[in-house]
Amino acid sequence: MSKEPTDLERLSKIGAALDDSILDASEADLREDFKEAGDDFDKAVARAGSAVERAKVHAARLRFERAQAEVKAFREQGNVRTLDLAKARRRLEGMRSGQAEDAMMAARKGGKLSERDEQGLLDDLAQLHALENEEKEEGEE
Amino acid sequence: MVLNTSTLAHRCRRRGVHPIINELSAPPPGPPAPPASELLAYEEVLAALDGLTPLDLARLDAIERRYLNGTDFAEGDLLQEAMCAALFEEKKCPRSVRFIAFLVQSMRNIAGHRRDRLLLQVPIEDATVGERKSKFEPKDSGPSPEDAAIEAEQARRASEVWAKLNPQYSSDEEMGMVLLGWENDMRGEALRDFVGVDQARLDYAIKKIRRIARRAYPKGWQL
Repeated sequence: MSKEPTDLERLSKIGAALDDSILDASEADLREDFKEAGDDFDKAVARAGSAVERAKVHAARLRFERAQAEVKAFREQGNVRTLDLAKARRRLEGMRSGQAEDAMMAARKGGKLSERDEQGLLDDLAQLHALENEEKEEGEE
Repeated sequence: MVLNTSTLAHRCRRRGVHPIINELSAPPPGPPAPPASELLAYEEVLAALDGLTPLDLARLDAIERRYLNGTDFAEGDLLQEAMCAALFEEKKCPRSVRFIAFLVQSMRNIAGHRRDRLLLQVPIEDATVGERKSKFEPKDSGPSPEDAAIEAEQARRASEVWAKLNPQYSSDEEMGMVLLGWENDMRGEALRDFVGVDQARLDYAIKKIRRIARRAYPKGWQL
């Protein structure tokens, strides 16, 4: 209690103490407070409850947008490789004609494949190609 | 508007804002921020929000109203803003702090900064040269003329508020003692001993103080 506080300092401390008094107030006291101000305790609960829900929805949406942006950035950094089906198809043709150096025995001797087998093989080859590229790049680094 | 770190830090110090929960990316010099493990994570904030009781919600609503004056927040928006800040981890709640008290402090800070920002958008009369100046000129360091203008405006406003409230409080000795105790950061038992009354009598005096303030300024003091 040394020097006289300014009005601003005084009101700042009184304001914080008033907030504390509201945080410590009983439900009965608060109901009286709201009533005296022409308001209603239950309406106040509904108002604040609605603010909580809005905040949660807003936060969930923002987190989703952030996650989307992170995925996009990850993709843009070249971390996701698209499968080159055209190249895989050329490789399959090579295997069929027996010209491909790395064709497996089964592939070289293979008879006619069904459409479904062919599609599956193409997918496998495209993935293999992507993996080979990845290994090559890692070796270069 | 460009506000440099030192200007913002000055405003935070002026408001007595805790460095952990202020709005600055670079807090003013002070105790180091606690490690992340001592702060509530997103899921914990969500759980804390879900754990608010109807009484807590009513308390938050009552306190929010005390800070709406001078801002452009509608009812519920300031509270929502404080909750969002906690969820987005712009303001981090230490585990040692009661979550509802953290939200209250957060509302105080957000409302104060919003009030300052709105005040800066209004040209303020320069008392020394009698010119009207734009408030958008960035400054390099130290308290700027803008800060000085805001502080002067707050001091003027505080004098006005106190001039209105003081006569109503000073007529009652117990209320006067409670206010004096609060000015000296007393709470609970210390305050009760200082005022020299039992708890029920103290609660009654506090209730009267609260209601006088609310009647005079239903949406706060705008400080």
